[in-house]
Amino acid sequence: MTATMMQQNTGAPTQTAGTFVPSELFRLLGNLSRADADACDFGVVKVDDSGKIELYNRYEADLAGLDPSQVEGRNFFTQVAPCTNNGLCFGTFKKGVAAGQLNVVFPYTFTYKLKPTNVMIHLYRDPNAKSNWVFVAKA
Amino acid sequence: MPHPHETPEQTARVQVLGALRAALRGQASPRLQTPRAVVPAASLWTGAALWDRRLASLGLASGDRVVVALPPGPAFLMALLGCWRRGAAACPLDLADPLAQNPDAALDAFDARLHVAETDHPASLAPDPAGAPRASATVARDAGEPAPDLALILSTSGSGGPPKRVALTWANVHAQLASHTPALAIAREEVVLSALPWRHAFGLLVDLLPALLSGATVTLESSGGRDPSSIIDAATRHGAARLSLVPLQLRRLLETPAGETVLANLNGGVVGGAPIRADLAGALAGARLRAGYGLTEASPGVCLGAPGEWREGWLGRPLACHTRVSEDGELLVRGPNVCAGRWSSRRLERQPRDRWLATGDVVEQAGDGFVHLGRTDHRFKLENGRLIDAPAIERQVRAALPPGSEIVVTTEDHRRLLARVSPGAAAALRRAWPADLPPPLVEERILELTPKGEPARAERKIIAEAAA
Repeated sequence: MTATMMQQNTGAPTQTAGTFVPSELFRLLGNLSRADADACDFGVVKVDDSGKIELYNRYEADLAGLDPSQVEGRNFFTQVAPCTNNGLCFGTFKKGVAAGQLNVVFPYTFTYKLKPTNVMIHLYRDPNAKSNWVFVAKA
Repeated sequence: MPHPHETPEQTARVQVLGALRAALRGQASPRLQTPRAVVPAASLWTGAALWDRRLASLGLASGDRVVVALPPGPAFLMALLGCWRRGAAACPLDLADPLAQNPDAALDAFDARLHVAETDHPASLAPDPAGAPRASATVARDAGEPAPDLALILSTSGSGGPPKRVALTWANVHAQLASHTPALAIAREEVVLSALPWRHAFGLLVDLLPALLSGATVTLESSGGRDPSSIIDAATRHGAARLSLVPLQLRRLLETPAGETVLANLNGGVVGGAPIRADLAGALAGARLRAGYGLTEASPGVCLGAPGEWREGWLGRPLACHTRVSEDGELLVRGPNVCAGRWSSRRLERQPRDRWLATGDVVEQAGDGFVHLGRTDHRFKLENGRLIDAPAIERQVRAALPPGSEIVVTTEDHRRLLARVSPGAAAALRRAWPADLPPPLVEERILELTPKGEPARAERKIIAEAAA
């Protein structure tokens, strides 16, 4: 699988094969259950085309100190992780959704439980199921 | 609305922190991009809060001093803002400064209670990979008199001699940010490429903090502004709209094939730190960069030019301070940007707030702005009593030298003039030498440059040190 990776320190996407998401997970996305997502050792968040959360896995919930039931139904970029409401995160997501193609990995520093934490974010749109995913791994 | 019992310095501190809080707290933009991380404002402010809390747990309070010996990046910024939240003065240190390798000496030099660095010392506190303070058994040491009005103690670049420590108050910092941030008019969606050292007033108070207060994205250039190809690469990849530079960086950029294109694509940026020569002024025609003039002792901004306004030695117009020219032609500055004094021998040598600060720069009025003519300390007398205005001679002769040649006029013995010129320029120098001056001893050599690209200051320093 070829992922589009945001080079470190750039805003310009380049083609590379780098992502922390195992390739087999991409094949499961069309039918990924909550149990499958909870089994992942990185954050898995499924959002609709507006950014509203449809699935928030256990790993991400533990990292953020939030309960999935509190955040599902809310907008990931503007309500749950508002520090991503910028051109790099939400802007890239919106452009990708509009283009029907989103596959971008970049480093970011989230604030989890009132502490800055370095992570890698992978924004992905499944071309078959047309579902959108935010994958997050601690760097 | 200031509290009735607040001092002006307390009010200024509240205003500086209030502006930073409004710009950063909970915000996704601005953000800081480095080679390893993209840090949104919210995480920068949270990190600063953690530094504040850690400093408080170590017993630090308003008026204490903290040495910050970190490279530019999220940790530096979080630590600096954490110091400010605590009311402590941050003392940024160049990692190449011998003090940076010797925590005890650094703590002594600033009479500081804490040393923020990646070092193993009882009074050192290191950042974690995300920039927040690492858990450690640090013990803050005792220090002398608190100085609650100080926000920063900055080291000057030392191009004209050994580094000096300049103490800036909250009112100084507020005056600088409140005047320059709106004047620079950085747009929220712009990318500011940061290629100046943050430990200096120009990089910190003219470039970095105004960009963050404006909500822009700050991208840290990875070579520290030293490699023109790295600057060009970063500016191109990030679509940089702003870039502030010293003239030497600008000259090196323009020596590369893509440098001119990068400059043409900028919406703005400040060129400061040293005077602009005629050839650079010509090369900047059409660029949206602007001249900025100042000195660390003035926080640093004194004058700002309009975008695209260039001529040899142009300094711009005074901004939010008073200026006048002395009878000797020296520019004097007075206002809220003028520093509290020098930090020397472990204490603040305070100077009157309302004084006229002598800049050491000889200028002439040009409309409502100023043009730089030279330095007061570059005028000297020969033994025969004749006053020599070395910069004036250099300007006059330089125009007749082959392109790119440098010239320094000085004296080793105060009996005879010495003219050092770039290789191949001696004959042209002799032809252009003013007839009313005694013929100089001419030396052809590759001239030393200061970090800001000033051959005259570097060569004069070498000669002075040799004479001593």
